[in-house]
Amino acid sequence: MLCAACAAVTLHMPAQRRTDLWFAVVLTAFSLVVAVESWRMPRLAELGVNPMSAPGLTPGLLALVLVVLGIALLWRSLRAPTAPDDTATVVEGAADDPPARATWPRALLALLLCLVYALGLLGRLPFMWATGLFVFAFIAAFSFDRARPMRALGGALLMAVAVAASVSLLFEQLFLVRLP
Amino acid sequence: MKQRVVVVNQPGASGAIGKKNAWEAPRDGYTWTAGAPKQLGTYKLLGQWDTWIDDWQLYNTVTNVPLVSVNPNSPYKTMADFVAAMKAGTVTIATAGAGSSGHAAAEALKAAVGGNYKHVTYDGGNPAVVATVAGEAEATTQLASEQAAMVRGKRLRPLAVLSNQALEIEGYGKIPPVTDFITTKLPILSTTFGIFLPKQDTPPEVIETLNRIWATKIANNAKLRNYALEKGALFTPAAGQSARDKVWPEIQADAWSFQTAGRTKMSPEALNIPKP
Amino acid sequence: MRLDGLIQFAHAIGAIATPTGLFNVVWATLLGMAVGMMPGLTATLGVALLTTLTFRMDAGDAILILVCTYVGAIYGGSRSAILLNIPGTPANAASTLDGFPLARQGRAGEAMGIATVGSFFGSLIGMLLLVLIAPQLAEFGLKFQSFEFVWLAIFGVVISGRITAMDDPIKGWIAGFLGLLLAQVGQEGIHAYPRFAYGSTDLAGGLGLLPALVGAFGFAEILCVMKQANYQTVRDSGRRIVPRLADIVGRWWTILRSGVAGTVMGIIPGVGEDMGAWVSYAAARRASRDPDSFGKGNTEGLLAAETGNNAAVPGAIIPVLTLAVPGSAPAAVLLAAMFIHGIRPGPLIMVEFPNFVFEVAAMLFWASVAILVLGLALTRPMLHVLRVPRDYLMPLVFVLCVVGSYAITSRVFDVWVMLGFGVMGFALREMGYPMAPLVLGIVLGDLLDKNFRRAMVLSDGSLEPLLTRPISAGLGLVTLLVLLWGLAPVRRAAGRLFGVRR
Repeated sequence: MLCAACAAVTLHMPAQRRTDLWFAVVLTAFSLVVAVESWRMPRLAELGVNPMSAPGLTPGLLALVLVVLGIALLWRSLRAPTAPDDTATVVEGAADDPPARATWPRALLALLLCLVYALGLLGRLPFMWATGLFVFAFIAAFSFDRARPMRALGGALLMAVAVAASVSLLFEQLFLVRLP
Repeated sequence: MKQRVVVVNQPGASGAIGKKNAWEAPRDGYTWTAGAPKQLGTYKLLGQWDTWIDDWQLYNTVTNVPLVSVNPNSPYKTMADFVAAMKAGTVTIATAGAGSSGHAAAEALKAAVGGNYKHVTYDGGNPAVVATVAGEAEATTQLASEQAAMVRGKRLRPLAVLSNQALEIEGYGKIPPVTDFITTKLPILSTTFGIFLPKQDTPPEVIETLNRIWATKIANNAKLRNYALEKGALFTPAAGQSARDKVWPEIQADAWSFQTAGRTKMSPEALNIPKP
Repeated sequence: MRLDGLIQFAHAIGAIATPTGLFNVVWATLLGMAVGMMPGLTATLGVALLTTLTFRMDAGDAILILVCTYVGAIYGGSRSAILLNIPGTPANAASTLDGFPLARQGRAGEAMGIATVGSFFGSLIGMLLLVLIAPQLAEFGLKFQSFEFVWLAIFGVVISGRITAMDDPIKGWIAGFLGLLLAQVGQEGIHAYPRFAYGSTDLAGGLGLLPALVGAFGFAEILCVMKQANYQTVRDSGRRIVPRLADIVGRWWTILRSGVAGTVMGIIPGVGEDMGAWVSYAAARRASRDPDSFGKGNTEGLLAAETGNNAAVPGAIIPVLTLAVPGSAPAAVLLAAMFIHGIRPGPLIMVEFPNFVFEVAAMLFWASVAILVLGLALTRPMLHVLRVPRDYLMPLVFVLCVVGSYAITSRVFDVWVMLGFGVMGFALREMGYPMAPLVLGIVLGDLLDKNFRRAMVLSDGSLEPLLTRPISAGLGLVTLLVLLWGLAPVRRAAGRLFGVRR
């Protein structure tokens, strides 16, 4: 099982390696900034505080650990693609199950809908309306490839009303939660 | 008053975090803070938080006094040993954090005898006391009430109570006052406890109700009185202005002790706190 | 003393047996089961979301609901493992090995029955060990001082990073240390200095623990689920559900072994329910007279895996109660929930909240009973959960994420934190970074910070006590071994040394 997993990783190596490389650069840069900012934090010496309890100590050291990890990742992703220990496992496991069909547009659409709801609608519309609109739009947007679109839209409407009403009532009345 | 009370314990930064949350909570009269009201007079001074004693409506309950205790395995057998170690600057003292009553007590001792100490802070009085029992710190200057159980169980050796009269802890006996060992006059180190809520925007009827409760129910509450006696604390109920008057000398003492220690961001005089 | 505990435990069990208490047990366990069954929705998400939504409730009721959801979700995940070959939560991965082949043979009902009984006994064994171990461990925990807590926090993220990113531990460690670092934002616990706030009062207040967890799990899971195309529908479940008594009695040794192994895996900080299942499964296979039948529909393998993961739930709660260090990701959320309800777990728990350990054990008892009864009685109706289309469910989950993150302090900033952690969590997942060490890091960040700086004050900046104090040195050595074991060059060298090829 371990071999299959290794193979899956190596098969996708070029793209994986590229993301690793970019993330390593971002992480290292970010951690360096954090480390510098931690160093610049007041040591509160004028309050008679022990220098070893300075607020910047822990974040600074954690940032340094992340710098080391970032550089390690960077170094690894820059190494030649045919490292000796990787090639050994490439041959086996090629006939593994194909990965589950994953589609980026779906994820981005979901992200967009959620952000519009949380940042755009809430606070401008009453909670119930904003929620109903969001639930309807979400279900409708993902129902277009279904066999019977009209039925899907009906379901979306039903679900929207049910969610908006029940969440509002349940949480305001029963759980005493303040709604946005 | 037939109202359920939800207690939320928010430790850290000498209670500043918990009090800030109460300050930022909606002013419906349902969010109170419990703690030491004198700290409300010193947060501003220490540059921790811009709040002031008169921003709050106070309701006092009991008054606690700090106690110097050491780990039984530590070399300090008497208060005289402890004072010598403080002069040499070798003692480690555990408290509930900067600005806590334990810290104020340690600072006062330092100002009285000279020398220095290593200040180790914990998430509250209990953890500080336990750290002393475990031996991570050598001594603690937290309140007697927080140490009572450990003193009774012989896991802490009490040396002196920082007040001008002896303190009796049930199951242990009398602990001598610090005035038996030090001739220098120590500032007032007692800490009055109570609940308080922001004055501004709190509905007046809430304040009226609380004033009435304090005058009638709390003043002769036997349960609270027994609790105070058992813990070695003083029972000192007061509300509103009279509560503030009782807390004021404590603020004076703290403010000037912090000033002497060089921990303040501004002079107490700038806040109209006269020297005690 | 021991008898005292038993009496308190019995009292606590009785105290929950009120109509309200039992009602909470039933709905929270059912909800947990449903969350666990839904592929993509994990126990961590369920507990995090419910923590925010039950925030206004009484602390005892809220923790009861959370414990039931937790147990229910870890158990519920076995359903999708058996029926869909998809573990409902990461903890049920080992259950797919024999569970799905059983379903293929038309024995899905029997498999679900075995999983139910295994989960029940697993939780029960874990609960018993909790009652026995927790008070003792709390007493021992008093020996844990600043230096030891520093190691515990580091050990937690290092081992969690190692285990959740088996192929690429460096990513697990990055996630873990990133979590620790993100927890440093806002007012720190010693001098109340607002770190990385840059004048913003929102940032000075810190990144809320629960909004961050709801984002990293809830929102990120929604995006992950929506990215996948739909899974297949459920096949027939077969007839027999309640297992034969002989099947269970004859396997008492497997149940006991898996229960203990699962609990022990749970206790180790950072090692979660999934390892509880894998270790129990491996042990059952090694002990079996017919190891080749494992993976082809062996009921004993399924029983071991499901006993092991549910036993790890009480196991993971043990260090939460006694050291305030979580054993697993859902337990980390449970710890955060205890904090916001004003319960301060840790070595002082038996002093400050003497009944709490037994109350939690009683909650686990009722949760175990609930999964047994509800699991066997509602097998068929619960299958409808798997038929709910995800496009219908996910918007509801997102609405709950928003409401939940807003609920605790009524700050809009918390919603932003949830969104930010959600997007970040999704991006990290897509790049192969595990979420469990991130969560552990976020929860342990404050503990690490305070104890590390306190330790440095005590030692005048010397790191020596980290290596010379006995318990410290032990923890440090184990952390180092985990680190080395994760480094590819070291593994290769060890392989050459012992002449073993991977």
